[in-house]
Amino acid sequence: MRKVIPILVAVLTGLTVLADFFITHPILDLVGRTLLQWAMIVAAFAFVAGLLNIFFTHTSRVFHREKGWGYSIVVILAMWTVLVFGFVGNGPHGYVVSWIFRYVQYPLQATVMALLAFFALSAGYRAFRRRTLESTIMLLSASLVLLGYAAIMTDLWPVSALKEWVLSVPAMAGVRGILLGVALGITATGLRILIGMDKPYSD
Amino acid sequence: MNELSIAFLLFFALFLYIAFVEVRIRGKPNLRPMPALDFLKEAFQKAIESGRPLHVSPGTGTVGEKDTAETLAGLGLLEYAQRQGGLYGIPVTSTFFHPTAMLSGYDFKRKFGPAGGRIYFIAPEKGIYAAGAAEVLKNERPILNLALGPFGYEFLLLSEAAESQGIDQVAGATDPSVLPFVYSSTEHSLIGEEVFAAKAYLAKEPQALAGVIAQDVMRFILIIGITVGVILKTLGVI
Amino acid sequence: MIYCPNCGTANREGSKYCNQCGARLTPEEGIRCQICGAINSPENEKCVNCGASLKPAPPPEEKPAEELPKVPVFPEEIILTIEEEAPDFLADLRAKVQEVVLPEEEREVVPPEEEKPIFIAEERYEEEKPFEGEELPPPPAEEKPAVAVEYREEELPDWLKEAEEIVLPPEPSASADWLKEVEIPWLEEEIVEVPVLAEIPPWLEALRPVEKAPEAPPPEEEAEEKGVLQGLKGLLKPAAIFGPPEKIPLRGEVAELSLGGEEIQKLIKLKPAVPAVKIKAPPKEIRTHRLIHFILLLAVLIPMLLGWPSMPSGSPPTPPGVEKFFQTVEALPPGSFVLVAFDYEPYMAGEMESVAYPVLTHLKGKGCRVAMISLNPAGPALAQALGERAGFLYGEEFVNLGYIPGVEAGLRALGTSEGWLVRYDYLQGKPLDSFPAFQSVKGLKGWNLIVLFSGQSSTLLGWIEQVGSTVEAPMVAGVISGLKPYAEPYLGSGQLKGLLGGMADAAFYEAMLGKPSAATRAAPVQAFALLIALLVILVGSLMRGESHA
Repeated sequence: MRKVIPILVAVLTGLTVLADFFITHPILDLVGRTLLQWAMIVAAFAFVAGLLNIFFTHTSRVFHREKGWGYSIVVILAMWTVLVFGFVGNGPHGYVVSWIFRYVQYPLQATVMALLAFFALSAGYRAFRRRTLESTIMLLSASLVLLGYAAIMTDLWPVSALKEWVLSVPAMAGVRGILLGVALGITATGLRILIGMDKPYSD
Repeated sequence: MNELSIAFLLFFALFLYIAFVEVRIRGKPNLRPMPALDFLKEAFQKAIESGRPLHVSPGTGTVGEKDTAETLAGLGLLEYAQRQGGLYGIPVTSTFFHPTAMLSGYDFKRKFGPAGGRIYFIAPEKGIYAAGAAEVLKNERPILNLALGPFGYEFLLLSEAAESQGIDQVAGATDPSVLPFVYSSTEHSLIGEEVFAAKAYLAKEPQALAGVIAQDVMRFILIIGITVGVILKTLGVI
Repeated sequence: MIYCPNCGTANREGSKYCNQCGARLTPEEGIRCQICGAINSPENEKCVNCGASLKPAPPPEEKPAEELPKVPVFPEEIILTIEEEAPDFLADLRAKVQEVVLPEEEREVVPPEEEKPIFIAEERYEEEKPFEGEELPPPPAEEKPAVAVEYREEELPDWLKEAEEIVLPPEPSASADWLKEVEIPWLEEEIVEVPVLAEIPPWLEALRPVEKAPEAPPPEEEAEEKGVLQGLKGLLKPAAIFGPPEKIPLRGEVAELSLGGEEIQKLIKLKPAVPAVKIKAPPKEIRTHRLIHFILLLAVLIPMLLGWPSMPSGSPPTPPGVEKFFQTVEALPPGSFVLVAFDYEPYMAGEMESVAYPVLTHLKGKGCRVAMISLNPAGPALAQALGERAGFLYGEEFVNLGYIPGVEAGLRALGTSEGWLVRYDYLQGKPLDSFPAFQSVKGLKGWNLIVLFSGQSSTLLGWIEQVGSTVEAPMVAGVISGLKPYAEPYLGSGQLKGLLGGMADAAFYEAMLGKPSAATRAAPVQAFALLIALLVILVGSLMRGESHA
């Protein structure tokens, strides 16, 4: 019985939301919407567990003087600062939290992701030196697309047109195939949970 | 259109169940070899010998939103890694993007026994997650970086950090815009639906194997349907 | 708890099958076939799977000794009888073997008539000498061999009866000439050409055993004088046990063995063994990658500082998606209601702000009333900053509706609710009814245009699929350049009325608008950097790299 109840709850909830997607009925709509809102609330409370994990993990690193413990102090201080000012300043649009977001978080995130360009180049450099058939095809298509993007600023419109063709026909065909396979995988995973075959949750 | 979707789902569910029963009766089917997963098995052996931990990242997705299935695939691999870790004493370090996935990580650790290794919740922001996971790689020096699940462009940051440390990698993603980065930055990669088949290959659970078989059959049906539709459309019949 | 033998999962006591993998936990009743392992019913005599017998075979009946065939089994037995009957022509050779192998004091000095083969176990046992102070246990009773070998005179083959004693030469010569002089008596009757012995090849010559000089006898050890071990010799001194270990000579330091041979010396000097676990060292390509990164940095920095290259005027054709986007916004009457979705994360803001800013400027110029919404928690803050930068007045010209959780679920709720899912604004927390400029819009009805600024395919597709089919308002999208190929099919199908893909398209939009801004400055620099990146990749691929099967 202890094993059956979680499976039953998961199956019934999933089938209700699925039925709400296909069937239009006021009661079903209400139940489906309520269940989705409950899911959002539960996910929000999971953040509390996340906060506790950050706090205890980094505190442990500081106490045991593990590698990088100085950064752990910065993490703990930053976490408490934003939490305190978030509660005191009426939420995320308070002055301090907004200032922290606009002048600390946003520039840092933008900078970190700006590194992507460099890493993409070194990853491509590494990949194209592998000398396999796949990497050679990738090199040729990447060269064409890069040239096409660069040529958009010039009169070399045939290169641009060729780039558009490569992106919209062969590349898109491959993407559609991958997306079909991924969609089947997602459907199979969902159905396995819906019919109670798989249990990604604990007992 | 709704009726067609319902019929498709019902047929898929029925075939999934039939495949599950077949696997339980006839045993495990022959699956085509996947070099990335063979390398993963060798990496587990190296981890046992060297005593260094594994790092597992189940992606930058959540449980409960659109990328739930990919996140569950990543969590399935984490479960396998934790199980092997509990059996053979391999520490498994895992970093999480969202706390809903982190709860599963704690559950696996409790179920299969602690063998060392930490669970880190980094942040629900992709760039920050990648930077935090890179720092974990630098501090823990794992022998393998296993990154499987819903990733975005931040995957490059993580893989470059692993590559600069000389850490072997097995990675897989489902987003086609990220797949070129996965393929180019790691030697052992899983493309698209291979992410969903990973658990079937490694753990050989009947339900996972049934899912792989059912996907294959439905894919054939779709291919036949698309081909017939294209021919009929070309001939002007429809 | 019962642990599954297949997957290791813990199952409750009393479980028969594993909950995880379905393997059987309890042994099945029945007889297991020794050949194929299948479980058979206890009544079966033969295995149902392979047909092997399941009952053990009965032990063979013991036959009396005289019935056993007299077949010589062990070569020692044959030699024993041959030695007894035939002349001892191996005696000399045996002596020589003893000289080479055994030290002097261990060599048995056996009178010629008492010489016996040393490889007979019984006789070797009789010659063992006990340690001093120790008594040898009585020798075991002579055990007859398992198979009795009895050769009677009349059973000996003819060639054995005629065998005569052969005397070998006393000293073996340096070369193998002695082999040539051996007379094989039983072949006297047959004329057999003794094969001409070939010369010994140099490699074999090199392996010839070299006579080793007799070693000096080890010093006599003193017996223990006191304690429990009094009177015993050959004991380790306490200091030797706890002292540092003796230096183990490395392979290169081993003295030449008495067997000699350069080839053996070469075999000894082997390379050290490869470690079991190869820990991958940091790759040497780190320096190359730093150089690549530096080149790219210069490719971006120098054009930005110099202000070159600049946006070309006139001739490059404007992408069709950009034109459609522009025309759709241009067609809006003054005072239109526009819903703008900011669905990109802060790390994409670098490119997306250059796409969103000219559009917001255009909307401001048309006098539209803009409501900003986001499916991303950080989206409202980004929207607020951009709205203020574009010059909108909060409350009159734009309002921030905040964050809608649950991408698809939230959009579905937004699209199906008859009221308005969002009740309060993000900045001031006031009810939406308190903003007079926005009172005529309820839910998703009443909007003139929906603009999507998206950095992820999930949010873009969510809006198009969940909302696009339920509203009448046209939809246009501004996306990062990597997302443009995924959005273009929707442009072709008419679900999107316009598409801006990245900084380059934004630069064209600014050119059409006549208000050059960040995109106009940055797009040519981006194109130049892409060209440099292409050159780096091509040069790198032409250089010598690793090849994989």
